[in-house]
Amino acid sequence: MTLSPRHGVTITAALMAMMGCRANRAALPESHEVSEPATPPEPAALSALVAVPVSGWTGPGGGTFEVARRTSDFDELRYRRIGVRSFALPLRPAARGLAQYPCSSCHQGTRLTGPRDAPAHENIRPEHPVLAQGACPTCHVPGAVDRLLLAAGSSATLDHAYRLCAQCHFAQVNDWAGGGHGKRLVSWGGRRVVLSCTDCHDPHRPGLDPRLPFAGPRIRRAPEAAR
Amino acid sequence: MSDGREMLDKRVGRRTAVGMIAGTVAAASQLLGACSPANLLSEEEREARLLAWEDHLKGQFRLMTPEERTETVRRLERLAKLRQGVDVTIADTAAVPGVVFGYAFNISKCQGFRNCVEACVNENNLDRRAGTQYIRIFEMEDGGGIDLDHADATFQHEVPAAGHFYFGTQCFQCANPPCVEVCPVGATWQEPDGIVVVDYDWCIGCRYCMAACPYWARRFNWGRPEVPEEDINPVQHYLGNRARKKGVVEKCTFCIQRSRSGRLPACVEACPTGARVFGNVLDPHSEIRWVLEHKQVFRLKEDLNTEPRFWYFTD
Repeated sequence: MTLSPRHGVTITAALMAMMGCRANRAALPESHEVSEPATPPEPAALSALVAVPVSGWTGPGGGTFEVARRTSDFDELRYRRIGVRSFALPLRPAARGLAQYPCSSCHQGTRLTGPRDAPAHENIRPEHPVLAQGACPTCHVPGAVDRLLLAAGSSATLDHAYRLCAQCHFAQVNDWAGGGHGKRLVSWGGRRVVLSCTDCHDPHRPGLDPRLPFAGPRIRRAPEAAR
Repeated sequence: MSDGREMLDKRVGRRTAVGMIAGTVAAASQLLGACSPANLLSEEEREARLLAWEDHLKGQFRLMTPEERTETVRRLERLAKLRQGVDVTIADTAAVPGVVFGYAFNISKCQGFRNCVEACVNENNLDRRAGTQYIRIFEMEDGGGIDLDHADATFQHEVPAAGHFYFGTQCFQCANPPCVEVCPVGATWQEPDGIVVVDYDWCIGCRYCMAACPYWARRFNWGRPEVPEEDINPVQHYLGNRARKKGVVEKCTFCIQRSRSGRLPACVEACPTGARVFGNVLDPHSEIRWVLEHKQVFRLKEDLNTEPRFWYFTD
């Protein structure tokens, strides 16, 4: 007789019952899969999120998901209320938070050419373009700088920056779509709204800066104290 | 006289008896109050003492009827107002059926910033005087493996430090929790959604659970926990972040006051690197399930058969 994992569960449950296991131990579930997953209560903050559906990728289990909009005011994303405090996530400013957004307010009729030749955007440190041997027009549409240039020749808005990043960072974007990379907002169930790549990473300089951590524990564990 | 006989004839259950004693005690303390220095107490302090007495004689949370739960919640809310001057709401929200919480931690992503710790302390009203923290972030050397004996959780320098990686621990809400097994009074148990909780008013402070936990996940209140009035999180749960007292054990509850209302735990919400994944392991559309199905995952001290619901993974 061959034993399937299902038999194993039943046998374990029977053994536990025979041994008179404590009632306060959680009973083994009959099945590990529920046909109709429970719908969790929807937090109020979730309905306030401004997001757009992601095109081209599906979330965990093949479901659809949304990405928070960079082009709208997203202070409600940046500041999360934890306890009585308002915690600022180290997110980049939204596009609207940039002093001169939209870019076309200056870049009218001008075409981006190669590396910058005039003193502009001094705050941008183009480490990533330098490493990748690119320049402004590699990613920004030369004649319409509010949009991002995709390899296929089409373009995407800043809300869909992940489509640009995905052209090289395959593994990361797969993890991001599935839930192993990046941040989901507000809720663990129901509507899935995630941050886009450029909400956390500066595309011109994608690493995180080192900094001092929050205070550590004052009490050491026994092995540490013994040393 | 007939009243007395009826009283004797009536079957007095344990609960009724406790109620009767409570009534007697309350009456006696009022009587005492009338002819002792206690009379000098303010109206509010007298009310607080009476409520504390009544609260002292209640049952264990799991054995309470819905009415008793409502009653004790209202009483504790009133006590918080009288004692701490804060308007709090204490929920007794039950587990959502079909939900078992799971947690995953990405070792490649964590940079040791401890924003999770900061958020946890604020969210869960942890004792500021003792500096209680549920989460530990261990700094480990690259190439040394998961070596807890040579890891440092008390690092205080710019992070991430070169040649090191960071490994976070907290309560793993084990499916086979040894802490629950050893509790002599049934003050700690596992809820249907997998969260291991403590009834702070039933705990006797023996700390067996702390000795039984192989992950150092539980914390003991050596003194009365102190939180500045303006920092108290008023959104509370009976089994979560409500006021604890001296001499009881507490622990991470995956922020039961948040997670049971659909929100992410504070540590997940505050993590600046996205190293923390949380969700319903029974839901095939959840992020946690995707991580479990697509990533190499492992659990800490898996050989102990504690079955933690907390998985580690790498990119």
